[in-house]
Amino acid sequence: MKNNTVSSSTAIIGMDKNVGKTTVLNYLINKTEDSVILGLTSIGRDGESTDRVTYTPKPLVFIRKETLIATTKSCLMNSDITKEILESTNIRTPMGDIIARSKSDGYIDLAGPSTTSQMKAIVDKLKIYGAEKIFVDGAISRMTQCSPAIVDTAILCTGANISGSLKTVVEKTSNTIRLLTLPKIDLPKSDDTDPDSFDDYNAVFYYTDEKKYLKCNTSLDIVNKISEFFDEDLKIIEIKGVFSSPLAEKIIAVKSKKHMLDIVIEDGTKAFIDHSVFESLLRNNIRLSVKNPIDLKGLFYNPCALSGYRFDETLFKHHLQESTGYEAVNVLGGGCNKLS
Amino acid sequence: MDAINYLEKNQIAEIGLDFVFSNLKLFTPMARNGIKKTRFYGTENETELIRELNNIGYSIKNIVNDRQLYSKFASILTKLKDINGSIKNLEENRILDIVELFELKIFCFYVNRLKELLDNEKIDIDGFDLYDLKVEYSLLDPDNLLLPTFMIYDSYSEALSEVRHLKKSMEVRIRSSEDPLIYQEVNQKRKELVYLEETHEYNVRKELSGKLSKSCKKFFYDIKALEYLDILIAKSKMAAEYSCIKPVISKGSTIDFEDLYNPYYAEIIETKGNKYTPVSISLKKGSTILTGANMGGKSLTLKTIVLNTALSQMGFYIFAKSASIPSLNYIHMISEDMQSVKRGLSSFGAEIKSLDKAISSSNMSRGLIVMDELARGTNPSEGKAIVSAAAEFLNRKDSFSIISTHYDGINLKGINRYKVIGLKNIDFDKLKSEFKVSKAYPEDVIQSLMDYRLEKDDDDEVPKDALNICQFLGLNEEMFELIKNSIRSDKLEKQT
Repeated sequence: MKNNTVSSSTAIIGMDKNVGKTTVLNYLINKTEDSVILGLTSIGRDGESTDRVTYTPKPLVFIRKETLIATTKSCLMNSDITKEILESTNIRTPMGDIIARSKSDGYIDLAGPSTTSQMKAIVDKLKIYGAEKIFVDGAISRMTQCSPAIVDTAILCTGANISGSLKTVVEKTSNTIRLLTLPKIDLPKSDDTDPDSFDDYNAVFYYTDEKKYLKCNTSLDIVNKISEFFDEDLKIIEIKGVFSSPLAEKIIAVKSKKHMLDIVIEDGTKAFIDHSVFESLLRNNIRLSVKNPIDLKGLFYNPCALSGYRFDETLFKHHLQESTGYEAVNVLGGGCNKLS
Repeated sequence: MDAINYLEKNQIAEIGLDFVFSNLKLFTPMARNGIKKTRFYGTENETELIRELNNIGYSIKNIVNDRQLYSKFASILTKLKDINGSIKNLEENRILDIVELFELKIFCFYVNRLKELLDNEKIDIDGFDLYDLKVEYSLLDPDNLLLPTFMIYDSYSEALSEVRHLKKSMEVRIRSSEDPLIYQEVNQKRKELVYLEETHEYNVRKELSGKLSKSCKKFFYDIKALEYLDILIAKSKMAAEYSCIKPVISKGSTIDFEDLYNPYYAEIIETKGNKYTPVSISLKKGSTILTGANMGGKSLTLKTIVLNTALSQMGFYIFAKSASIPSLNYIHMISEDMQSVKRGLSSFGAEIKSLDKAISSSNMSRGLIVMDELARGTNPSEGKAIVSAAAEFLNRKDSFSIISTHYDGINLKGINRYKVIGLKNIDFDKLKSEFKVSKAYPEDVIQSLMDYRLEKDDDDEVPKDALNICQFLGLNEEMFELIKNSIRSDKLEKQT
């Protein structure tokens, strides 16, 4: 559902705080040709000169004249661009957003909506106001707002700040990438037997000749009820919403090992399972796929951690590339001090 | 929604008034707020009430029925934000920020468009006027760009323009600088210029705010006018959609309703696949007694009367075929839905307190008093006495009172009586034999046979359908015989 085929949107997803997401954003802004109109927004808050959580200095987003930004009123007031106001929505609520156009270069403070539907509305509005390329400053903890329903492509940022162990960081990163880039599967065509409001169901079970629907109040409920749906004829389980480790473990437990099963989720942002569970799914002949694949365009890394330690640059890069198959780019392009 | 002229909050929901309000298509936050303050016009403002009803008629004819024009109004009204806060800031000599100025500009822009539309279409609503905000708009669009956006334009101040120019040259250097030292230096210079820019912008905002503050009265007037217009169009739109009619505000001493209905319950009943029956009734000044079978819809009839009476008094078209009603100052409704009952006061206690309130209102001015089975929980002899006394007392007053009751023999001279036609034309024996072959639920059969309409009643006795219904619904036979015997012996006792 893209409003405008000309415009493209990219989410920049940080695996943690201080993995250099803003630096990547600045890098991408710089790389974009001057003639292209950029649109920027963020999931939650970002871009402040001090990180709200860790109180460490953070690089600001530097934008060019004629860039469109969607941010909150207070963040807009913190920005030092010359501003042209295009639209204000729900100004009197904390989530009130303003869409503005920069009439000069300058530093901005980005903050954006926190729900998926609001995010979609904002991205669509930026397109309507003429943004040709949109960047959404995202976070792994709010991954669902970076789903293919909202943005076309994604960029992942990882870094030493995640863990002191290089091995752990690489493993977590490759697991995230594996989940984000799960393969697409086409579900059997829906027919007349589909309930009117398909969205109401938490899971759909596909057998050779029939479909069954499960409706629960919470995702925990699915874990309790799912075993009732298992028989040798079960081919595919379509999970709406989050696919969690407990649910994955339950499925592994009730399913016989030889039985081949497909699990289909909406997109990679809905999978919340760790490395070992993922491996376990594979061992048990369970294939995880998505309805809407995410187009992951790049991997950036920050070898320096906040607390001062740093990974060996070459080793880190090598292991990341080895385990993910993506070219890893150092966000700092060199030393750790340049931006602080 | 707070209480309206003695109608309590949950009564407002129960009679279907919330439903009516929520069906209004309002476009502005001012109107969504303002509608909550709707009250009766009252006997003193009868002229304004009549004018309002005329305005609805005018707006149906000249705005709502012209689909294109209606959508033009809608598209302008949706753009209007509530700028009350900013105007209050201006009134208190505060300096508006850039977003407030933006909102003010948009407001002026669309008010002017609306004003133009009203003038071009020669829309002339009695008592309604809108100031154009052209002067105010041009303050906020110094270059006459006619864009729905706002910034502190260069043309406001030469000094500002100069600073921005300088700043721009720094920004160009920042972008191209490779050397971190030069970058630092230029960045620092730019920072100083940003500060200067903000200072000049502040001065512009201060000057603008000062100029705009002279128009506070105009702004406040227009905000109110827009609220009025939005509500008027919404009322007219709803009236047209539901084929509502204009109540005649009479000088007479009767309330006449023909084919009155309640859209809230009509919707509920019709979604269940049943047919909704409108009712007609004429209330004379003084008391009216309403009797009728169980399941005969007496409570719904009362709610429908209250809803439409309230609407007529708040300047709405009403849900009926025709209606004539004088202006009133209040409605007292004594029913099971009263908050005091829900708060734990015994229902009898709550009834008596409300009755007292209604009586003191009726001593002061004209209104409508509705009592749904007054004293229903009391022993019959005392209950009957209370109902009789209330009916007699209220019959002497200038107000309209209607009391529904199950008690027999409340037949005081000069008191108007109505009853639900109910099941009186139904042959129960025939029905029973027919029913045995069908598979329908007995409750549904009764509902489908029940004649909910009202008729004038000159009988002394209240309808005795309860027994028929008991039997039809299949009450235990032994039990049923006992009830019959008890009634028989009661009658014998009375005769002797």
